[in-house]
Amino acid sequence: MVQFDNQYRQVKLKVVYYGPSLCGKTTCLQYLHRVTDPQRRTKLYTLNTASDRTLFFDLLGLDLGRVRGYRLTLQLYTVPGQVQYNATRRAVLAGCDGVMFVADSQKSFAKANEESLANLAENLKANGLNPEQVPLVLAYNKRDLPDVLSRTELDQSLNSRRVPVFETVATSGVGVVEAFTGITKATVLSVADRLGMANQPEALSRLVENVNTALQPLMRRVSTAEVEGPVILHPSAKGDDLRADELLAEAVRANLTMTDLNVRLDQLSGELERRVANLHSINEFGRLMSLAREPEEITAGFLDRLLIELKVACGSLFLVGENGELIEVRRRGLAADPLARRDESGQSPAEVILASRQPLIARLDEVEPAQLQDAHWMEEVRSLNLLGVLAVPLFAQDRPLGLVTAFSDATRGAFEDVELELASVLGANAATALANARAWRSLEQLNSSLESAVAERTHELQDALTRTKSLAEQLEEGNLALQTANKELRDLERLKGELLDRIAHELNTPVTAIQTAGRILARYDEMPPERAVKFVEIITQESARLGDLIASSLQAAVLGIPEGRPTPIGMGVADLLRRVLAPLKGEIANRRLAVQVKVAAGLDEVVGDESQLEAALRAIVRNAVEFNRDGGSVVVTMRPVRRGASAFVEFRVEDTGIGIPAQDLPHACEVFWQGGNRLTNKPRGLGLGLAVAKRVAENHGGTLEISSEEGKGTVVAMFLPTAVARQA
Amino acid sequence: MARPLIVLVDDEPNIRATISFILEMEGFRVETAVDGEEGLEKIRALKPPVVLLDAMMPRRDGFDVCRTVKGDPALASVKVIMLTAMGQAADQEKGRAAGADFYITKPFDEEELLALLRRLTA
Repeated sequence: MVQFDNQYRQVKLKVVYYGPSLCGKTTCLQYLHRVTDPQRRTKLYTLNTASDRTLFFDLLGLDLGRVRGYRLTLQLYTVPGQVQYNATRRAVLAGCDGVMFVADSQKSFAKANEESLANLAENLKANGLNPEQVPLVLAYNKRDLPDVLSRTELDQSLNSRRVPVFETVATSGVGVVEAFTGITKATVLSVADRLGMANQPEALSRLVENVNTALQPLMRRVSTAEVEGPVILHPSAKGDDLRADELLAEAVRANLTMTDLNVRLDQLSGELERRVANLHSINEFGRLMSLAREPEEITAGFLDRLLIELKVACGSLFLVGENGELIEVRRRGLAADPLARRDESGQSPAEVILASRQPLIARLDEVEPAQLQDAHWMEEVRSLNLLGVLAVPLFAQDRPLGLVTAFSDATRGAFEDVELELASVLGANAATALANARAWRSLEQLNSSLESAVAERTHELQDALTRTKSLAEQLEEGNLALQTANKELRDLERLKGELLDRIAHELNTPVTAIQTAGRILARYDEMPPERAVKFVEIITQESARLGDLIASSLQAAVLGIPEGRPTPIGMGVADLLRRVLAPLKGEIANRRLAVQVKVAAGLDEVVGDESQLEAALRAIVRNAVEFNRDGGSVVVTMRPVRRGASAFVEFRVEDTGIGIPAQDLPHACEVFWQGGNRLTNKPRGLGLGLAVAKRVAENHGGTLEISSEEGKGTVVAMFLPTAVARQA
Repeated sequence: MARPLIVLVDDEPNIRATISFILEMEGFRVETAVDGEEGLEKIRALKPPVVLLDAMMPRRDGFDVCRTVKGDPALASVKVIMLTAMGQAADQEKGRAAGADFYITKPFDEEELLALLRRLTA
């Protein structure tokens, strides 16, 4: 009975090696077990009696590869030949798909062979199978022994159905594989017939070819190869105790089930091994992907690695472009990828597969899956002598990223489900790595553009800072200039206030004295005349002082600070000096000053503006008197001097007064400046003297020079150019 | 009745002469000083009830003398009348800051001065 196992997509065919006791059934299985590829068979399960005779059955599972999308496996059983074990034989035959009858060629076994064959027919019937139709192949064993029946003799007694016959020597393996191939083909064809493939000769012949391909590796195997020993199970029950047929059949069924589970276990452990290998591949691939930084590195590494894992040479990698179209970025072993070719609707198979989001495997010999039968690209793949197609859509965070394809040829064989699984995992891995690398790259780009923006901004800020600094410096300068101007203004204001104070004092003092003296004379009119005279004198003195003050005030007011063109005339020096000194005589006498006048011989006349010169000279002399100490001296000198090419008249006044502090010297000629503390020294006058003198000297094209030592005295010299004055 | 003593401090000889004459004629005794330094000496020595003090003087000005008198507890009874040609508010303020009791500007009305002196020495 064909067993379809849909979970594992496999078809199990059951073939029973039948024959008389000791004819060599188990030996055949042992040989097959030895020569088959360990990857494609299970262990050999042997349930023997203690006397090394088959008690129940032997079992060997063989993997014949994929047929129409299903994995084809064979389960080979032997039955115990002893007559008393008929219940076991019947149970083993249940659901069998083919029988290999092993006959013992020795003449002494002629009867046993016939009895066993009859027993086979009987037991098949008991299992509801038609002995005339169950696929059957005969193996005439022990051909190496003497005293054997001839092939013809054996045919006559055993092969009434004219089924294929193989002569074998099970102990050395001669003919064993060929006989096995025979029963396998017969069984597969019978199953195919039962599945309705009889009227599809093409499919049938391809099936046979598949079976041949599957069996070929068995033939190539060297029989002397070292092999693992059979698994030997010793049931605790003794054969002699197993009399009751029912009990025996139950035991056989139980053992069958157990053996089946063992087979499944074998398959699972094989599967597990493949998966572990896949996991290793995935792990290694993941490591490579995590080391890769650049998207290009990942795409190249991914395709190459995938093709190596799949043991194929052809494949391509597509990535989704900006407009959602698939762009081939890498191709191996193909002039062009058949899946990239667009059909009339403008869509390529690759894009259809990507849109389906499902990975795909197809094999061309089976045209599987069936819906691809009419796909135009199948022809193209076939023409490239390719057999298997694998395509895996790539997604990262549920966004389509691309598609990878791989193609296998007949030598490599079609792709297996496990391989599709592996390719899917590698694809998901690569897609994630690629998405990460892209994100990383755009992050880096963002970062670098941010950096340059920051640098630019920093530069701008530095510029702005520099500009701000220079503005601040300009402001500071402006501020200083303003402060200076302000201070000058305040100084001027203060000077103005001091001038007013001085004027008030200078005016009020004589006025108070005159007024008070006048009131005394009026109030005490009976006082003696000698006393009244004193107050009249006071009135006279203070009036003169007031007059002098008013005159100099008027002069300052009229002259302003004398400006404009002087009107030069010749003046007698002696007369000029007399007029200058006259108003100061009283003061000079009061202060007990010694005044010396020195005029150079021959200097009788000077030329200049009379009133200006008189005012200037008097101002200078008045200062010498005013700021002198009591009993000091004043020296007035007039003489011609030469300075360079020019001739001057020098008018020089030296005193022994308080002097001018060095820091005040530059201000001495400023309007209203006055030496000394105005409260405690209280100089008379308005602080105009030197300013007037300087202006007068300059009006005449000359200069005024002052030198002084604080506490010792001051020298003021006015130089008037002789020539210029004359010309003017 | 003893004649009240007035100390007159002024550097102007004609001012000293006229004022002291009037005060003496009106029943006061007058001691004069020609500058602040001499004035302070006489104030300390005589402790007069009233001092007539000129502001603008050599050696030591009137404001300084006034401050010194007002800062000396021994001279607490001495009334100071600042007598100056200056009539500006700033200088009056300066006088008040120095602790002057009265402030009379030149030229002054002698009756006003006499009335003040009589009141202070009564």
